[in-house]
Amino acid sequence: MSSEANKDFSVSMLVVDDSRLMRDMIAFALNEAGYSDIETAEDGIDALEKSETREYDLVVTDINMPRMDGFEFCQNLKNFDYYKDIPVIVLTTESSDKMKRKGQEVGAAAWLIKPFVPAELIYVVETLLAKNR
Amino acid sequence: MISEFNMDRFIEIFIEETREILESIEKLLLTIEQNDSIEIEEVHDLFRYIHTLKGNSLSIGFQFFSKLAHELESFLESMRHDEIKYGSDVSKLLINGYDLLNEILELEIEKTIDEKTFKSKTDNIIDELTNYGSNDGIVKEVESEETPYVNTEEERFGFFNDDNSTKKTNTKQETETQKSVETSQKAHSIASSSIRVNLGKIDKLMNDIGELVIAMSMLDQFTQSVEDSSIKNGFNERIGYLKHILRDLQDSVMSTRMVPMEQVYSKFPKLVRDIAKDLNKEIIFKTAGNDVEIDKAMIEGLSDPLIHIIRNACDHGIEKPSSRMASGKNKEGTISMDATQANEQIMITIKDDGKGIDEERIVSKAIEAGLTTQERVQMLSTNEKLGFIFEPGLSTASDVTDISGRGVGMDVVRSNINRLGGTIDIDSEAKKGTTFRLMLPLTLAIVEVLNVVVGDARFFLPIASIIESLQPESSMIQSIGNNNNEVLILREEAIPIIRLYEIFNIASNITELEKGMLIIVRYGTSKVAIFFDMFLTQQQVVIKSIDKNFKQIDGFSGASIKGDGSIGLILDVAAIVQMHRQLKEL
Repeated sequence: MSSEANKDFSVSMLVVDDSRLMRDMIAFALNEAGYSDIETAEDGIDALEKSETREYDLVVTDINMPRMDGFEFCQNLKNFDYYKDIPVIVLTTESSDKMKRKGQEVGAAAWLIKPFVPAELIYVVETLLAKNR
Repeated sequence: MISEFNMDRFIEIFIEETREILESIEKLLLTIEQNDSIEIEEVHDLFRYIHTLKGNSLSIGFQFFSKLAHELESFLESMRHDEIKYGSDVSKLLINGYDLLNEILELEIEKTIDEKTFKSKTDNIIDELTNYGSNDGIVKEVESEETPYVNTEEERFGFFNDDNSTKKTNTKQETETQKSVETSQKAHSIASSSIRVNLGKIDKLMNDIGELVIAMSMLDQFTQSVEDSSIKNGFNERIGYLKHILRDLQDSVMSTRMVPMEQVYSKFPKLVRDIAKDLNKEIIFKTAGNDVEIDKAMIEGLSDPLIHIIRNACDHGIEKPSSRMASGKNKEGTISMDATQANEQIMITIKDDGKGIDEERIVSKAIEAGLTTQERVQMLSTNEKLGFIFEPGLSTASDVTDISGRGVGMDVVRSNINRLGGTIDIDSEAKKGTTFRLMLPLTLAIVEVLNVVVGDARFFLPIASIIESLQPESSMIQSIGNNNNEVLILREEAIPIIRLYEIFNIASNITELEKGMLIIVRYGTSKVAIFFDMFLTQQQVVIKSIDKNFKQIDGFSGASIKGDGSIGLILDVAAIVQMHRQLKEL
């Protein structure tokens, strides 16, 4: 992980999950790690709307959600020019081959198993942000 | 950076969200059971709900709850893949699973669950879930590949290769994706224009407005004492404007506390279903007025009385299918709940088409209990006779059942409703059914009252309970019985008179009824006339609970602060009638 000096805490992130508990937990973990510009969305459609009005630096999304799931959301998101290179982390309950295939297909950057511990999330987030800089 | 979550801060959110999800599951399962079929959309929804419950409970550390959720999820996964077909035993199994989820959740919250308890409670159902259909020769995988319970693999996270393979898929699916973006934008009509606010904050705001109302009436009172009439008029004009704004503000804040009746109704379909199953009855439960709004603070107090009435209706009202058919009715009984709003009040009716209440039996029980006499009964209307079921110790159910509980009677229902500032009455016809009617104020926070005077004391009497007031002539007063019971004869009706100074032991110069005022108030289905020296103005007051700070005081439902800063007590009609009865018995 990069040292504190190299980190940019001003990055903006979008957290997408239909569960309020998960949204709160993810946002909390990110906040505690120093990232304060975090917005949340309740499903794929909500998230897509928010990504249209704002250019986030990183997106964390659940898969199983009503109206539009995380894969479909990611696929749609990658249609916006801006988001082509913006990392999307998929939160999943399983690390099956099917999930990995699907994630790759829709252009996600990384996956993380739920329930996650904050350190894992932050490691994945910071690795992706460092790569993108 | 934190390495572990401190769960305490999330547990409340988890519980609240879990209850919401369970409510949605319940609704879905009841629909499925009723239709005796399942749509694929419903399977997906159920799967998603259970999946969320599993993930969340794992995250919060409720391992037993998540274990059960996992078993249900695997079962639903098989349904999603059509490996399990719907049958009515499926909905029964899912409902049993749902009930257990609720039970395990409570145990997890109480921290009173261990491996042994969990196993003894869930072994059977888990067995049924995992082996479902295997008797039919279909062998089902015990653990589905898609949903391992706890991920034991080393890999906890990973990165996808960000080579151009992703970009390729994108261009290939461009048109399709474009289309789905369009549809999704159309679907997104419900913009998230709402926020979640802690109820405590709204209560605080309401309370502050209450203080403002009090300050306002202080200013008002002060203005009336100003002698210079032009200054006084100037003040009055501006106060009028302020009052108008205050009223609007009050309405706005009130409206944030209002929730649809649907929230009140939500627990009843399952309750009725469970009781009906237990009693081998067939009961249809219907609701109307789901959009009518009610003060959130009222829901809690309303819950017990409504459950009691519904249980009674299932247990004692609706007959068994055989006896219904024998008397020419549909074999399914119907219980319906309706809510309407009018004149700053909410009316909730609960109606069943069961066997009705035996009026004669109520009356003979009431005479037995010394609540009335043979002679007095002659003067009572049907409604008034039925009203005796609200009296303490007058349960007519000869056999106590598990469903309706023991000892707790309709008197508790009435006192609970009264505590909310409401009234309840009953209507029943033999063989046709019973209807309960609840009238409730729109809010618990502010009440419209009349200032009444007895001797040196002043009280507030809630306007909602008042029917009329009058100064009686001596010809209108009669004494009956030997306990010196006085009644007011008004339009051929005999209304018991209660002298308030007797109840509260207040020295009063006005003891002749003809010189004071009688205010006729509603009490359940009957009326009483309360005797005061006189009454003054009508005003709005903010209710402050007494028992929260001190203890319940007989005869009063709450207190309020008056314009001059002193405390005013709000009269509780039901309690006063009780006190009057006790006084007369001595």
